[in-house]
Amino acid sequence: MAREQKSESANLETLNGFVILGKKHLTLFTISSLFSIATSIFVIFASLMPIAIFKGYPLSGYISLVYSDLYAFEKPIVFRALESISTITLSLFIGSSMPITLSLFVLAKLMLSGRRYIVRNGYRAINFIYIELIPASSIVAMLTLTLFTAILRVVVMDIIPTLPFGGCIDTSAGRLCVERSTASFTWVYSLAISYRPMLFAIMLLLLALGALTIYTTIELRRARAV
Amino acid sequence: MASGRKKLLAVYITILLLVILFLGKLLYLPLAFMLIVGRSMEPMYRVGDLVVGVATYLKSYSVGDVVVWCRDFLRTACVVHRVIDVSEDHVVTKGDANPGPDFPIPSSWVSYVVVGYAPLYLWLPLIGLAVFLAGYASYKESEKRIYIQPGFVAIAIIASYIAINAFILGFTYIDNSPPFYSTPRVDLLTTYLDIVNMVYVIMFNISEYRFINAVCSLSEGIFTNVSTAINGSIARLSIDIPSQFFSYLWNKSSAKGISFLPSPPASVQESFDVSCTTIFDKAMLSGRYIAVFSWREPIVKAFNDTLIVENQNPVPMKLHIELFSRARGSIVYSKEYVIEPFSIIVIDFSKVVDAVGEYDARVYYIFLGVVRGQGAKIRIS
Repeated sequence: MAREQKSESANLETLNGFVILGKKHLTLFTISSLFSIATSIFVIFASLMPIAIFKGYPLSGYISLVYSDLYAFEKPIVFRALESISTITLSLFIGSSMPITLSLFVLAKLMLSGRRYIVRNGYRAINFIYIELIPASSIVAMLTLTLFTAILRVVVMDIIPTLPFGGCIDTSAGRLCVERSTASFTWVYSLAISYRPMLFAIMLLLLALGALTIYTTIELRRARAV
Repeated sequence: MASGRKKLLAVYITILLLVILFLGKLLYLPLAFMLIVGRSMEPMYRVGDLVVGVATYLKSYSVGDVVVWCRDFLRTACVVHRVIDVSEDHVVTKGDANPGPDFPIPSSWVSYVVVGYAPLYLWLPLIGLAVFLAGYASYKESEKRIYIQPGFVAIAIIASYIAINAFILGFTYIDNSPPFYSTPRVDLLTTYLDIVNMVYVIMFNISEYRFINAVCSLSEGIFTNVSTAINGSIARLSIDIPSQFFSYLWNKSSAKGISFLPSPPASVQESFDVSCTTIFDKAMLSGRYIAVFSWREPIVKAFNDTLIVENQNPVPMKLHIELFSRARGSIVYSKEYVIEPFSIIVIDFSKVVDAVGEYDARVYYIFLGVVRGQGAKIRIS
């Protein structure tokens, strides 16, 4: 086995498109991949989680980006805007599944490269095409998070306020004032209100990681060319 | 080789045209493809169906047409609904499956008139086929040699993602219809003042709530007794109007004075407010209702030797009744009477006057601050 590895590492320079990774490169690519995966899982999880849960009368039920079940005055609400949001959320799932798939693929490749192409002292060799998937994942994860923030903001700022939480209705018999429903806003709601800077920080971090990994990939490629 | 390139070019041009049409709504092109994302137009258009719109600067629309109207400049928050009313400046639309119409929108918001559509199962395979043909033709044209430039993979992935997003977001929209929900109904069936029994009755339909209690007050904040009767979904509130309240109204109107009164018996309309707060299991109804009745002058009638005076008011009236003898030329009978609400007094003058002959009965009273009188001929035989 060790002999095979030696012989393969000896022939490494002849392998087309391969680059040699140091420990720093490996750490950077691993962190970037894991961060993209974590962000994408977070987006999927936040899309599935309820944004607000309403209890009592007149409004009951819950809202999430993917599915909502709302009742006003004990009858179902027909809310086309939420149906549209639900359809548009498809792009969040596509956008989140891409970094997860690509990053997991690259991580697997990085691990496998250690078995096959140990150059020396833990240095590994991998085809640069796989390395390119890492910045791509970071950028896609960042764009997905941006889209998630935008959609969440539409729901929180434009859709939730139109729901009948309570108040008064003018009827022919007078002014009918109903009780007020209690609304429990989850952490997903807080993401659009209090923790928006945190989301922007994650986006910037993903962008920075994307830029850094692109730069590192180009540098590795250039070093190989030299 | 040349024919292969022509085919490839044709496929690419087709795809480019499709992309332009899909983004047509954002660019306000004459023709645009849009994806249905809501269920408001079911069963005509279902989620995922593709509609083809012609810009309103090329095609006019009328009642019955399906149009696309958007609230924002970039036409991302749009609605695909049917026109149900067109006025000079505004348009009213309604989704076929929506329970009610949308709010009237300015005509300038209407961007496209829908002229055709393709169901999801038809257009999606066709687009997929076009993309596949483009890929296959490119591969074939490159003579099965693919050389990937550095950076190509990353750019291709990001570009694919942006394309997918543009595809989904570019030609879809967030349906801007307001939420539809049925608000509870509490219908006022009737209100009336039973002035004889001094009760104000309010009847309403409370099919969606359970009645608990009702508190009512009259003008000037006078609280009064309320008795309730529930019959199925119909609640009947009977509000007692105290006789003192009518005296208060009488005095108030008397103090205000009447500028003109026609010849007797005149009537003057009076009104007062009844405010009720009805408490249901999940709501509270606050209503202000107006009770109307008329103050009426006493009705004076004579039958030979008998005088009948009727008080149709909810307050007692003081009367001064005189009997004038024509033969003597003097008053032979004079007395003060108090006539109770909704009652009559009957005076048989044959018992108080001995001499036969013709008399004039004169009834004086103060009606809303004005001294008034009525007369009647009395014949004692």
